[in-house]
Amino acid sequence: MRNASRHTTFLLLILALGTTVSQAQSLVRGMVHDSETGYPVPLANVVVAGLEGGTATANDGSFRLPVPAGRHTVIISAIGYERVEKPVDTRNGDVSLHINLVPTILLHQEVLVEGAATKLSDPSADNSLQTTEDLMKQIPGVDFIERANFAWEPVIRGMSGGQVGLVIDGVKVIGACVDKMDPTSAYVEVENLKKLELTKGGFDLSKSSQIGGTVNLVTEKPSFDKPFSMSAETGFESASMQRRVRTVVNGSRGNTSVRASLSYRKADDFMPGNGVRITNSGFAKNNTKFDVTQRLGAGHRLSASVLADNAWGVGYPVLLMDATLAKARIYSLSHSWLRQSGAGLLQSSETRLYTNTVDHWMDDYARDVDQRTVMRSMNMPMYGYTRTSGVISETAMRHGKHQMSVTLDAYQTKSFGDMWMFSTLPNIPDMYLLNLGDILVQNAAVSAEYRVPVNARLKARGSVRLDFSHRDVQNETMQSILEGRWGVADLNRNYVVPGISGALEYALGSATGIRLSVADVARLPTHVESYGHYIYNYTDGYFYSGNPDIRPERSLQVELGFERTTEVYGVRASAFANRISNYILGSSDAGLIADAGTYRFRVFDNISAATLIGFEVSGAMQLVPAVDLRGAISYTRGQNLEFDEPLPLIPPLSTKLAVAYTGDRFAAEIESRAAMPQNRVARRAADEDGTDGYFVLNLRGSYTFNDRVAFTAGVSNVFNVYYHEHLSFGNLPALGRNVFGTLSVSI
Amino acid sequence: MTECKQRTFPVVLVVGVLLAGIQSAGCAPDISDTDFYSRHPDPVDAQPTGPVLLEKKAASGVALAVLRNDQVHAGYNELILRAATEGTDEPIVGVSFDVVASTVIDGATYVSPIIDDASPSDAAGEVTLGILFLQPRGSGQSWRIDVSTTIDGAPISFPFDIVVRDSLTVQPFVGAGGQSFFAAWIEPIAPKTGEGPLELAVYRDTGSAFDPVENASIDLYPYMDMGGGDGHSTPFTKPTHTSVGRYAGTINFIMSGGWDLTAYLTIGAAPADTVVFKGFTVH
Ligand SMILES: [Cu+2]
Repeated sequence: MRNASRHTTFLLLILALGTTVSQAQSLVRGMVHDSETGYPVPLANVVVAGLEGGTATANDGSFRLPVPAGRHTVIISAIGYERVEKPVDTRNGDVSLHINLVPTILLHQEVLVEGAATKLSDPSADNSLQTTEDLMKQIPGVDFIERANFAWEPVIRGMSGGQVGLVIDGVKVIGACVDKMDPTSAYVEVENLKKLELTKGGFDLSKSSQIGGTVNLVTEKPSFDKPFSMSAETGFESASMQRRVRTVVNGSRGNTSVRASLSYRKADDFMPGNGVRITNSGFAKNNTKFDVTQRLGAGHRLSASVLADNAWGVGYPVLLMDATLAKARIYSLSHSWLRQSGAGLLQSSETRLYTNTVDHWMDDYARDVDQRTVMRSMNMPMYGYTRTSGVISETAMRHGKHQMSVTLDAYQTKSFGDMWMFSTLPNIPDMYLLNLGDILVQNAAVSAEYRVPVNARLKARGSVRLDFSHRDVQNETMQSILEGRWGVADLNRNYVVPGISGALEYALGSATGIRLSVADVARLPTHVESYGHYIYNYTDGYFYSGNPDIRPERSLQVELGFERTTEVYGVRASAFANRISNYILGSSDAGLIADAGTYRFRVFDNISAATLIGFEVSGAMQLVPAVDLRGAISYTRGQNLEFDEPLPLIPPLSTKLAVAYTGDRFAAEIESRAAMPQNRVARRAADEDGTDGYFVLNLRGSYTFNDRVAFTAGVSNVFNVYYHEHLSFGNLPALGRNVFGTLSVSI
Repeated sequence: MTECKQRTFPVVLVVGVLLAGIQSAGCAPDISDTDFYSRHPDPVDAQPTGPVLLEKKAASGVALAVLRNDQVHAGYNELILRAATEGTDEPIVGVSFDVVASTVIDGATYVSPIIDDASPSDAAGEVTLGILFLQPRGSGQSWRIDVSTTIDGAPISFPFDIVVRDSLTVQPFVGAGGQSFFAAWIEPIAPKTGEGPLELAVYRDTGSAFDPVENASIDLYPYMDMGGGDGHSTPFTKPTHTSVGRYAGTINFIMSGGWDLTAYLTIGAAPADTVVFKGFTVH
C-alpha cells in the first residue's frame, strides 16, 4: 500500500512539473498489436523506465506518451503477453513505435521458468539452483516425493505417478525401477535445461495422457550465436559433501552447430539438522549430452540429440535396498520448420523420432539383512529395464485470428523387472520373482488445440485428446501367472480414452485478468497398475499386484485464476477443484493374507471417487528499487470418498517468503520456507503418519566479477532445523545446515 | 594481443575445470554383465538332461527298454517304454502295451492303482507311462512292472524289477477311524511358476490292496517359507474328485523357490489328518 501511495505522489509531482516547469518534451507514440493475430491490443501498459507515470493503449492499440528529450527505455506490457522493452532516443524529436506483443501461453496456465542454462554464465539470473528439482520446487503447488537425497519424483497439486505427465522435449522416458528410484526429471541436469514448461491440472492435453499436470523439460540446443563458446562451473555443498562440475561447449560454423555438455556430481552421506549423519545416503552421477543442429534453409532444421545419464551407488537409507546403477540413454532425431515469411495456414511444425533405454540394478549387499524386520535374512538383487520408442509431431496453424495446433503422440514401451531372493539361512532355496514380465504398452494419441481471441478482452481456448492404448504381457510365465490369477483367457487390453478441456481468459483492465478453465480428462493406467506382480510399496509396506481390468482414472476439474501485474507488484492466484472417479488405489488382496507371516498384499483397484481442492497464491512486490519481496502459499486437500479419509501423499499448506536484492554485480536473497503440520493422512489406504510443521531460512548471494567469472554462495537451513517433508519416504529427514558455493566461468 | 591476454585466464580455467570434471567423473561402473546369481552357490539342478535307461530286455526279436526322466521315486512317476526290433534297433510303431505294476508286502501283492498309459507307441517306438508307486511300509520298496503286448500275433511279456526311493510326494495319514490312508501328489511332476493343474490322489490301505477313496474333500494351504519368520501363500482352486481316487484342481505358483503344500483331508464327513508335501522346488 505504501508503494501505491508513493506511486500516486510521484505521478502528481510529475504532472505538476509537466505543467509548471519548462522542460524539453518529446512524444513517444505508437501502435501495439498482437503478433499472432495482428489485432490491436487495448489497455496495454506503456511506461518509461526510470520515470514515473505512463499510459495505456486505446481500443485501437494506439498510445501517446510525453517524455523528456533524451534516451529512454519504453516498456510495454499487457496481461497475457510477453513484456517488451524498446530503447528510444527522443533528443531529435518525437518517436513512433510499432510494437508486436507475443502472447504468453498463460491460457494454458503454464508456468514458464527459464532454466539455469543462463546461469552458468549469469548466476544473477536466478539465485543458486543446483538441480532441476530445485527449480521445480520454486513453483507453488509443486512438491516432491523424496526417497533419498537423490532424484525426487514430482507431485503437482497432490497428484503424482501416472497422474502426471513428465516428458523431456515431449519425449516419454519410462522408469525402469519398480520402486520409482529413477524419475525422468533426473536425466535433465540444469546445464541442459532451457525451459521448464509446467501446467498444473489436466488442462494441457498435448503432452501425455494425464489428469494432474504436465512437465516438459525443454533442453538446450546448439546455438548459432557465436562461433565458439564454453562455460564451466564447479560447486560444493557441505551437508552431503557434494561436489559438482559442469561444462558446456557450443560451436557453430555456417549452418551447423554443435553443443556438448558433461557434468558430474558426487555426494557422501548427508547430515540432517540433528547432526547425525544418515548412513548409506550418498550417490554419484554423471550426465553427458550431445546435440547437433543443421539449418537447411527456408526455416527447416534437422537436429540429433544423444543424452547419457548414469547414477551409481545411490543410497536409499529408508528403503530396503540401494541403486547399484541407474542408466539412461535417450536418442532423438527431429525436424522443425518455422514459416519465414508470407501468409499461409501452416505456421510451424516439429516432428521428433525418439528411442530410449533405461536400465536399473539395485541390491542390498551393503545392508545387514539379518537385522531388518521386513524381508529378513535375504539378499534381493533386482533388475529392470524399459525400452521406449516413439514419435511426437506438432503442427501449428493459423487462419486469420483462429489458431490451431495438432499433435500426434505415439510410442511403445517394453518393460521388464525381476528379483532374486537369496536367503542367508540354510534350507531356504533361492527364490525368484518376476515383477514385470515383458509388458508391452503401445499408445497412440491425437490432440488438437484451438485458440481464438473472441474480442479485445476475451480469449478462448479449447482442446481435445483421444488416446488409444494397447497393452499385453509377453513373457509366458507371467502370462500363466496373471491369467490364472485373474481367471482370464488372455491379458491384452485396449483402451480408448477421450479428454476435453477449455479455458476463457478475460482482461479486466490493462493489468488485471481472470481465467476460468475446465477439463474432463482421463489418464491411462500405468503398466505397473495393469500387470505388476508383487511389487513392494515402501509407502505402506504392502506388496502390490497389477489388475489387468483396471479402468482409467477420470477427472472433472475446474480452475479459477486471477492475475494482476503492475510496475510495482504482481500477484497471481488460482483455486482449483477436482473430482476423480475410478481413482486408482490398492485394495486388500485377501487371497494371500491368511497366515502369511508379516507380508501384506494389495491389488490396484478403482475406488469409487476422490476429490482434490486447493489454491496457490504467489506475488512479488518492489519494496525499493532493486529490492523485491516475493511470496507464495499453496494448499491442497484430498479426500478419498470411498474410505472417507484423506488421500495419501498430499502436501501440507506451505509458504515461501523472500526478500531479494538484485544489483548490477551483486545479488542476494533471504528466503523462508514453512510448512504447516499435515495430519490429514491416509491411514487406511496407505498407513500414512502425520508430519510436524517446520520453518527454515535460506540465504544466498552471487557476485559477478566480470562478464566471465561469477561466484555464488549461500546457506540453506541456516538454523539447522531437524525436519522432514510430509512426502519424504520413511520420514527421511531433510538436509541440515548446508553451506554451498559455485564458481562459474565462461568464454 | 590484449584481446588474447584477456582470454587466457578464462580459457585456462575452463579447460582446467573440464579436465578436472572428466577426471573425477570417470566412468559409471559397468555392471551390465553382473550376474547377481553368481554371488551364490549354484542350485542343485535335479532335472536330468534327458531320459536315462533304466533297464532293457529282449524277447522274440523285440527289445523293450524302460527309461526314466527323473529318479524313480515313491509316488507318481513318468516312465518311457521304448520298443525296437532286436538287432536293427528299428522303432516298433503303433504297438500297445498292457502294464501292471505290483509290489509284495508281508505276503500280500499290492497293485498300483494308477497306470496312465499313452499307447500306442509313437514314431520313436515310445509310450509314456504314468505310474503311481505307493509305499505302505517305508522305504526301499521294490516294484515289478509286467509289460505285455502282442507283436505279429505273438504275445510277449517283459518283467522289469525297479527299486523306488523315498519321496515326499506320498504321505501316509490316519483317518478318523484309525484306518490308514495315502495321499499322493500326481501333478505337476515338475512344478513351475505360473498357473497349472494340481492333482492329488487318495487311497486307503486295506492291508492287501490300495482302495481308491471317492468321498474325500481336500482343502489346501500352499506356503513359501522365505526364512526369517516370513512367508506367503499362493492362489489355488480346491481339488475335486475326478476318477478312481483322483482329485484335480489348479495351483498358481507366483514365484520360484521352495514351497510346502499342506492338504487338509476329510473322508466322508470325518476330518482326517493333514498331510504336508514339504520342501518341493518350483522352477
Ligand atoms: Cu530401484
